[in-house]
Amino acid sequence: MKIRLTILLLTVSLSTFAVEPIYQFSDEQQAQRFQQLTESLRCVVCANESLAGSQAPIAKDLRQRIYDLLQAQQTDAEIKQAMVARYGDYILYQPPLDKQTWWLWAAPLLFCLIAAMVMTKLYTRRLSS
Amino acid sequence: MSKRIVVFSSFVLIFSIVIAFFYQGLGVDKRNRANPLLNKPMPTFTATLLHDDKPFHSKQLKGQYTVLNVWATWCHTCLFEHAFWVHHSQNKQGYQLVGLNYRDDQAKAREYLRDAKDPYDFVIADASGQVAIDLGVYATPQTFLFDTKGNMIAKHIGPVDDQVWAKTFVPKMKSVQ
Repeated sequence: MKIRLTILLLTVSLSTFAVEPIYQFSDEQQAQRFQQLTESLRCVVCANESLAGSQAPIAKDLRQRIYDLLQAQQTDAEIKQAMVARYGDYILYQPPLDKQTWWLWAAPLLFCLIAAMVMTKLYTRRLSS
Repeated sequence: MSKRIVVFSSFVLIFSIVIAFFYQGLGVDKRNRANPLLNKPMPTFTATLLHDDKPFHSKQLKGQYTVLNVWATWCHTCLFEHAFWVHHSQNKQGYQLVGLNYRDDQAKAREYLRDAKDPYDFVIADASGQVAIDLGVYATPQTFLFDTKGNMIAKHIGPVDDQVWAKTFVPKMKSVQ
């Protein structure tokens, strides 16, 4: 535990905290929306880190952009759309259900169906023999 | 018996297709493939110019072909690429070469251009990185080509050299002219 803490402290650079502005939100709800948005969007240069968790410079810039858009009274959907328009669906942790991706949802069901059919067939054959 | 073979082999076939699909997916670069701004009008943005702090509006990029090169003095690949632009700008024709100085110390950037030669017609300063977000930039160096109406018609991530220039940029400018 001590070692872990030391490693953690060693890897954290204090200067990164110095440059991140502290965002002021008009109300608690807006602060929550900021948190949710940055957690649901991927840091485009990191290996599986959300915008909320990343210290990469671009993640910082994107947080600033999201903050600005929130201040400009944009809805969550509009903000996500603005991100997708620039970085593609890749920036979303949850892929949209559309013409290209429907089979991601359909394929497991289809495979279960096939498996069920095969199993019933084998089972009834065994019963009859 | 033969029915069994048919059933079995069709399963093997389906299984292999699924495996092949996922295997091919391992090699796909999701970030580079996503290129949503390509062939779309350039986003509107405002900024200042690096050399004289004059205000800049993105509409000033229209009216001629624009090669927009995103660079910074902290980006070693950009400095490596710089020689290409210096050499290339000596006999450029039919387009303007614009720099976008990304998240950089502006005094340092100006100094660098003074010392290492300035290939750009002008340089847009983007210390906050917000213009880069408008353009969907996430890595440097990165180079865009906009047509006369301001549509993004080509994009290259990584340093541009003679090969990349000939393959990615030159054909685009000819095809529209």
